[in-house]
Amino acid sequence: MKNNKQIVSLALAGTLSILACTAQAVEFRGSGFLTLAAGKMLDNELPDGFNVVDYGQAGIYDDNDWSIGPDSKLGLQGVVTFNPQWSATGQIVSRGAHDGAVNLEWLYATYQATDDLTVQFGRKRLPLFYYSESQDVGIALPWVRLPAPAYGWDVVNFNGANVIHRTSFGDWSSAAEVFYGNESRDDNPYQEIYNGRNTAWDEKWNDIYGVDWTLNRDWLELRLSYVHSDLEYWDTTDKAGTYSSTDQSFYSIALAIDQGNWLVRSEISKIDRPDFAEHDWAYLLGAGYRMGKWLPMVTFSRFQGDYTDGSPDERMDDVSLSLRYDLGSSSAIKVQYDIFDDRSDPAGITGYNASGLYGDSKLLSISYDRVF
Amino acid sequence: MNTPLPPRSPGSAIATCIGALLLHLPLAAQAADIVVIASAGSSVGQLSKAQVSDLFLRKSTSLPGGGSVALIDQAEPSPLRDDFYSKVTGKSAAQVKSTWAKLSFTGKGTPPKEGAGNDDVKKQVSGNKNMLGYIDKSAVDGSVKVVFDAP
Repeated sequence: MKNNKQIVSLALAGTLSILACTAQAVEFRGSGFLTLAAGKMLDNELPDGFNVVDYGQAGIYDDNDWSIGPDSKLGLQGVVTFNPQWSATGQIVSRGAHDGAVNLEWLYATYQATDDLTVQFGRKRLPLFYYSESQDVGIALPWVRLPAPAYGWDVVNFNGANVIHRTSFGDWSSAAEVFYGNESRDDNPYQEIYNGRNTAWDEKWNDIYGVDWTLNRDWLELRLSYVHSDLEYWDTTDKAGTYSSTDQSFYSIALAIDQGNWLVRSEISKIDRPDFAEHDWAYLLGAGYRMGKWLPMVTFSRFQGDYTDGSPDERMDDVSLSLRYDLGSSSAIKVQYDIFDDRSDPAGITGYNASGLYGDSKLLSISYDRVF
Repeated sequence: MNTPLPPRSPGSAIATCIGALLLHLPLAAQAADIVVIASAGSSVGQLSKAQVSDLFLRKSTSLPGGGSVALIDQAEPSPLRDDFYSKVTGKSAAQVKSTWAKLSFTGKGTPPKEGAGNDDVKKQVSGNKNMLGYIDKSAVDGSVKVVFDAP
């Protein structure tokens, strides 16, 4: 609820005020990330077909012209360090998908309790999957964007707290995290993808709790995670008639390899929404080979959203051919060609267009990423 | 390198001298000899290449044997910096930046401080008993100690 955000904001402001009064040498560090990207949907089999490239932010290509909105974004981060234990971080982002609107998306405090234990509270990214938190940082990704079939859900951030414990044993390093919080998203852009462009649905994820564990050793990184929450959403014009709720569970395993010039990214996720009779699987498998500053990569991703109550299944595949070139250490240019195969039930799975389907399509995109 | 061991015989003395001389001869195509340093008074022990690599890529966040670590890079543009990462981690400057950007923008780590060249790095490291940095071996003096030599 809004009350939740107010409580978190007050707690944060209170803590920061106390810290500011007792701080001796406060340091500020500003940084940022930028993606300027243009994309063009080609060959959609449907006259009103569309291609969703970012479900969480409703980044959509829905005509056959070049568009710079869906994938472009600018983020500014400020970190204030009060002392070796306490710091506060804020991130402001402007997204083409939201017509450039500037939003304070993250605001959280970090307390380094011990060398191995980090506590954070406030508002930040919900770590559902391997790339969830770094989704918007272009130079951290081999692709123009995260494979849409495997990423992107109703909510993106959450208000709450997380605790991370780091340790190592032998050649392995480990980071284990637990987190808890809530999220409320009024006029949810994600719901517009399914219900229609001019609809206004409110959504809440309550009682979110999760654990994730990342292990790495030399060229290998493994991540396991489990997240559970309650979910409710409704059309603001008819709450009584459209109210829906369920609990939901996200299970995910990711394996990343960086061995010599080879790069492999893989992830399998399972999502259950029992009261919606919904059982989803999402897959991602990509391989790339570095040649100096060049990184060509082929990636396959699939989403399978199956309903056991007769509702139409939502299924899609994406094959991505991407080429990244590092311009310098802080910037890169990428070209990507996606072949999108809509395998959804012909009865239709979306209210975004008259056809009720995405339609098979190809997408050509080019991006420039930078950090500063 | 450490000072040569005392010779046991004139023959081996000559061999040792020649060996020591050869090690110090600048070889035409060789880049700088880079060393990882800590403050002279710090309790940090010798580190292996894997340990240095893990620390500078933040795969580990504490020193072997415990204790937090503060890192310092040579400010860009720096051929020494690129050389260091290439030799020790096998990664390009872009890959390292990508790793740190991912950590920094997701609240999982703060990138290393930056020093403007060998002398600045030496000065900052010597003043902080938890700090590790890398400099050209020829710049080493009594204020710092070498914990890893990247040949």
